[in-house]
Amino acid sequence: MTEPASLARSLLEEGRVEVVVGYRPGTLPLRARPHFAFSPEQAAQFIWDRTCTPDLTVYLPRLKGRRVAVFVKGCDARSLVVLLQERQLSREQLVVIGLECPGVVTPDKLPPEQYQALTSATVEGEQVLLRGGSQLERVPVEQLLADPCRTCQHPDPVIQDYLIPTNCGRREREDPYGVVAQFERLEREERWVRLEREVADCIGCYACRQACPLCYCPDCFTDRFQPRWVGPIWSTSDALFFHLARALHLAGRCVDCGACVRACPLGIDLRHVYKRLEQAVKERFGYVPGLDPEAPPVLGTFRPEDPGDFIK
Amino acid sequence: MVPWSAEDGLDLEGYRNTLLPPKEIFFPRWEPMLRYSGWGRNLRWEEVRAPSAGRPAVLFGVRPCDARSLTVLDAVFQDDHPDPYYLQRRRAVVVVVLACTTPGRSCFCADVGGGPADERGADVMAAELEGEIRMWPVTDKGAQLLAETGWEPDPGGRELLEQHMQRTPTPAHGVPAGRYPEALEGRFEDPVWDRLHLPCLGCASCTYLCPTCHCFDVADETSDGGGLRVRGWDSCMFALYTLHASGHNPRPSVKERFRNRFMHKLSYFPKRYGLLACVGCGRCVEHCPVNVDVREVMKELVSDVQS
Amino acid sequence: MSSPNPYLPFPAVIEEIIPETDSGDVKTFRVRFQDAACWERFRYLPGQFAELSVFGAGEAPISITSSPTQEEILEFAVKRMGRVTTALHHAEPGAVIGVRGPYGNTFPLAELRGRHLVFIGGGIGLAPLRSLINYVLAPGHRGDHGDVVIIYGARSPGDLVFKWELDRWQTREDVQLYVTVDREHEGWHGRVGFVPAVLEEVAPSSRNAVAITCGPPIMIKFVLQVLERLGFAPSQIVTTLEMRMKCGIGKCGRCNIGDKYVCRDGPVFTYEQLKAMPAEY
Repeated sequence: MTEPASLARSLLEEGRVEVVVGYRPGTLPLRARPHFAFSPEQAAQFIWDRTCTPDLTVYLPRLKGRRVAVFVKGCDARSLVVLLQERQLSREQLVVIGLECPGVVTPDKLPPEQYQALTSATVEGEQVLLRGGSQLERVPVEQLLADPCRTCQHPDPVIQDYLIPTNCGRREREDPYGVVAQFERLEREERWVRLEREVADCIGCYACRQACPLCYCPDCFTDRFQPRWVGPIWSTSDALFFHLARALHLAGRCVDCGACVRACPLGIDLRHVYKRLEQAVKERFGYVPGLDPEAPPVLGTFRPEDPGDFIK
Repeated sequence: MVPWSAEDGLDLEGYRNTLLPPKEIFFPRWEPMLRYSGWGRNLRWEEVRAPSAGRPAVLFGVRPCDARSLTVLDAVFQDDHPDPYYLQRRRAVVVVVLACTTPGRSCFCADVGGGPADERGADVMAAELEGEIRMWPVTDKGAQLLAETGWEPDPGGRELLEQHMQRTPTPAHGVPAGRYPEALEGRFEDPVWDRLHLPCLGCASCTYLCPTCHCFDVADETSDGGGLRVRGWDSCMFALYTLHASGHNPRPSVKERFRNRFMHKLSYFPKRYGLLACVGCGRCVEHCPVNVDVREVMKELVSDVQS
Repeated sequence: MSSPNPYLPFPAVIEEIIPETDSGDVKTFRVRFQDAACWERFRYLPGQFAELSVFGAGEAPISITSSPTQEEILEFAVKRMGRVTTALHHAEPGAVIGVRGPYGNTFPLAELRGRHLVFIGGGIGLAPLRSLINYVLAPGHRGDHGDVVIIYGARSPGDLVFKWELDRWQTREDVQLYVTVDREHEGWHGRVGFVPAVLEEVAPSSRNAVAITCGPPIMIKFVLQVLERLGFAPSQIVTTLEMRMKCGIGKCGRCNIGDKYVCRDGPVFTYEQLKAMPAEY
């Protein structure tokens, strides 16, 4: 029986790991939260359902050198692969508990007023039951599905030692680059205006960076004093520079887990930028990040046949 | 918070609170302090103010928790070396507080010594009662505003609000705020921090959305032939916040920064100013990317004392 | 009704720049206010610091190394470390800088009265001590104290700061000065050894004495151990702390150690106070 709590419990009981990183119910509707279990008793709280959104591999570099078991969905498994490719972790320290993922739900899909008015919510099959005081509403999971899940090509973990299967049906995948095409249809000037408008609300809290498992640099370019690339006092131009530079640093690495968008308190969504970079890397180098732990990182490798047409 | 004009009308349906706290009206994300020009022997500088500084305004619909946060900010910015930038804005703005007749699910103002009809920090108190906005003055500044705008003072409103409040659930979650700061004495080295900090990502969303967080950074922004000394929000959750020029960092990891944040709100600040630096607005609860819930942290810190 | 803007620095002119170390990483800046009236608003005592502005680079807190008993000139010994201090090192005499302050508490002058004083400094750590040393050595103040012992060291002879001052103190009969360097060095005929070792050797009595120390953290750590062995109680040991600062006036938040702000409650603390504070500095 592969049930999250009992699996975690036995891993801890057998002393195979020091800590298990998984999910437990949150204090808000539709929000499971990270849980760290160091003892078999603490393992009782683990859950796995469609509210388990956080990409827990973000915690792994901090736990470097310790024996850790981690729950990963399809996208999280790919972040993990990138971390392994980039030598941030060693496979030996890890026990990977794969979660076959039917897609996760996000409260961001509800109007803020509606979400704020909820007191609880439960996912029942393909329905989400929303309760706000005495009010009860049923909405299809489909309506609350996170954007990356709609186009996810790898819902089953590409790396795992244990697998927790899903009994949910799989949905049809949408065009992964639809969001890019939509943006590219706009005039050049309009695209710039949209980008500026998207980041104008940015307060510089770096929640996107901190929630990203692949933004693990101990010394981010934003944290350098000499030269000082951004800030320290935040303006729209700093915000734009930060977001675009971060996107470039994730080219060929981002696995579209969606953590950055969900983490943003202001709801800034630059997924189309990240997807465009993903698309460009795929077209030029035939490379999809996070599938093979042995593959060299695409932008850390030179091959004579690499396209060089950008050199004018 | 957005500028409002009479044509906009007023729709309070579903309004709980603003995403960002009102502190940015008094303590903006970006604010010029000084202007400098020339260099070497001919360097000059002078005080400057942003165009928005000192512009008279009415802040309408501030929630009682946020109004109380202004008294926390006042304690800092009025202390000893009064901060002219903050105080100029504070003097120019009249705060109209809207009582919370339907508190939100993450609100815990009543736990931390406030309440949904708390008048501290308000110039004018307003409440939506029986489909009508009732307003009454709290300070002279508020009375003057009502007089100038022709509102009849409405002393009955307060009583009506009190009656309403008796029928409304109290925004409390059993957070033992009354036990702070004493409960944190000697807890700096407590192993509880090793556990509590684990999920924290080390971003600044909690501090930037917090109505009482007031840390700032100061920097010179140079352009042709001169520049501005500006200040803006900073966060104790950032590594750079305490990084010495030598490279030494007294709070090198998320654990130390997380601990400092809670110790500051619940112990250091109360010891210095006699006020908890948390007003129970629940913003950090709602918006933490990993649902680190301040209410639980506050409870756990006390429950560990008992065990 | 308008109180002065506490963020507005007074303009001051760099009159003289004295290279202190052979490598040039420490320089002393002698600075005079453009408007002499600023002196009235800048009354300081040993232990306090000022915020120095190099516009374009920013502001940095620097301890005042001159003594208020000196003529109307301020001195700052600055080690080239970050943006502001590097910009300051590039400045030339005649340049205008901004000075705000004085900020922070002072050495506990009342408690030092009638006591023997033991100064223990390392490297640039002599800078804040020098203000107090010259204060107690000033005519009219020297009689307030018993013995004055100064133990000062640096990595090498080239790293010693205020050599001109050390020479001056050396000639005074009412000062016992011990200067040391960490390792043997060509042309150096003075003492060799780490500051804590020299302190142990000199072994000043703790009776009716106060030790005032400032230097790199590793030196402080061992100095404290030696002082305890010599019988100094934590209340008889005084040191100054550094933290990253911006405003200098208790608002920007970053220099706290527990509920104390180094900029307001410090930078001077007794070892007794430090022991009651979280070890987060």
